[in-house]
Amino acid sequence: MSAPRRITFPHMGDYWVPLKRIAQLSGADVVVPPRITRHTIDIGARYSPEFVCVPFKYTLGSFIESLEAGANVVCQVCGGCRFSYYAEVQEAILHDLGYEFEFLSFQGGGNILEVMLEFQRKAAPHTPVPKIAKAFFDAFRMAEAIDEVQGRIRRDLAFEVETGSLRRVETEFLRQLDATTTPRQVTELRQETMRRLDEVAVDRPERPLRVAVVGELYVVMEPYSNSRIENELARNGVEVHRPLDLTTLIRHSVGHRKHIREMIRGADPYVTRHIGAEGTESVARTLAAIRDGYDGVVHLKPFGCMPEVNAMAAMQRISREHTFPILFVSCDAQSAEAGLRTRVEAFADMLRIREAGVIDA
Amino acid sequence: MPATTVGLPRSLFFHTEGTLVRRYLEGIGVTAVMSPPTDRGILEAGLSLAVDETCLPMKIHLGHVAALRGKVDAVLVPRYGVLASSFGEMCVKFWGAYDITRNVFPDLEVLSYDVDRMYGNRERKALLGLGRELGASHMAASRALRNARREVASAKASLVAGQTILEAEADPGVPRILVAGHTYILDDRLMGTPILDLLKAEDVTVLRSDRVPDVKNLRKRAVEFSPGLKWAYNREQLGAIATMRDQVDGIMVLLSFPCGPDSLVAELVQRKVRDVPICVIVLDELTATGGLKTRVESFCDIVKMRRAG
Repeated sequence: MSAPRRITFPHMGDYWVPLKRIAQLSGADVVVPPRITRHTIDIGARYSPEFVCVPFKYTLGSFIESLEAGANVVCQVCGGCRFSYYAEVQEAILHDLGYEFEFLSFQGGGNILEVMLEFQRKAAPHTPVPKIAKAFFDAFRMAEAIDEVQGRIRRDLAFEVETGSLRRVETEFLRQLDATTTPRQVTELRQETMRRLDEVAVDRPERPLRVAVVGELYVVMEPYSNSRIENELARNGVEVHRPLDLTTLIRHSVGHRKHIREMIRGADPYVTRHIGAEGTESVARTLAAIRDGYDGVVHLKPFGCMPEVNAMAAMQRISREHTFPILFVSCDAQSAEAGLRTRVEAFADMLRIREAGVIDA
Repeated sequence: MPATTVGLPRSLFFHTEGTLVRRYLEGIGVTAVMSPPTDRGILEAGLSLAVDETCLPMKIHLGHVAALRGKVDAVLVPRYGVLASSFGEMCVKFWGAYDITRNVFPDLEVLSYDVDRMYGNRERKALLGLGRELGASHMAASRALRNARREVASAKASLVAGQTILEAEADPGVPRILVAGHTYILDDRLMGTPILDLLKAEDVTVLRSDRVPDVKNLRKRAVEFSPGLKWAYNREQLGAIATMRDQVDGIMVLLSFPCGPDSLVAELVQRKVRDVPICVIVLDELTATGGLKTRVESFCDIVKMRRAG
């Protein structure tokens, strides 16, 4: 290829910052895809198979927008369900659309270390492995910083005194994070941001409603795809916790089988064998939420998601047997935000009434 | 007290593994009862029990379990996960079928055996374990399994041979249509059978993707055609398409809504096989026979016209 290489990757939440750091290793220019908008999902859905799960549609839309912006090397990873087959079909679709590009898919066997070596082999063959490892590690530090900062915001968002004050700190943090060059700067920025978050005025009730968000990784981590349900929960005065983020996902990818064994133990007796991807985890996290005294669980999945629909049979039974509120939300290319808002409102009201003891278990 | 009458739902696994398991259970002195072919009542029962986003075959499966409830001591729902690498792995619905069934029917005795390389369980080991659970001695179980396997291999071979003979004897002037789909769809009285019947009424030779000979070679062809494909059933199906595409006049792909693997595989087939007419039919619980008839007829017309030049 004579044109200069310009590499891109799909969006998921704000993780483009560490992903960009990794993509830079290839020596190519990095095209960060445009922010996900209605256009992204409309164009992705237009060229996707009809009832494929929605992360396929979002990432395809992201790729098309990046290719339009001049990218010519597209990166995609693979996972434990239909996700393992995304790359091949997306490549065929983009080729049929007439784009000229190179498609790099990283199978990795669900393990970050293998993904790293595969990345070296396919995308950056002239970069020595130690350098790659260091960049992956730096990127991991950035993801950790994002997860810590956003985890705190998620918890406090419902109770900020001045609306928007937490998000302001977050925006500033992400801007500065992109400008960091060393892990030390990342650590300093993270500590500084946490200090600033401590200083934001928060008016937390003595016993706030607490909800855990579980489900499929993409729709959990990409706020656009779940109609920003965390904001919606916060608007209704709910403290949000989310056990799943990129850092935990990566940590668990090393020693994946051990993690699955732990999750199966946690999901017992409702799930006794692995039911695919994050399905087992959703069940285990729901049981953990009950044990830890949460008031409810919100379960997010793409419409028709195979592992999460498997999990739902168990979660519905858990909800019945423990009289524990679970809100099941399906995300697809057509999201009716007003409908979701009403459902979240009703869910929060129900939790509050239950908490007040009007409805007794 | 081990169960003495075991129910086998006529769904998912037991279209392909049913005979093996039934012969095996009978060999160790257990009565095996298969649920009746799918009918409207079984479907309705499944629909009321399943999460509505579940695929149609899983809904039908739950209907079959409901049909067995009360008639047997226990229902057998195996789990097939990751198979030997040349086979590939099963779709995660098969991974979850056992736990889904248990959670939908908490009061029902559900037996299982687990075939999964991730846990080091081959089918033989898994079935012998089930035999032990049902009170059979290791000797008796091994013997029963050996006999059952022999019988099933010859039955399977005769199905495949039947299609080969059909192919050889068919009038070369009559167009051939390959019907590609999972066995649990093609063999289901409510999903596949009506369409196969409609096709047979159309004066075409109907070949099935699950009866193309030399399945080992099919798997290899599938991986050449699509290196990332790991689902076992889809490999066999795609291999059949890749092998037969030059020998047939049309391909009809049957899939159920919203099948995960097929949503992608059907897309890839349509994009990569451009020289043969392809008709993709998506089955759901609302399928209207009138609409199906029109689609099957018009597809057959296209195939015939194309052949006539």
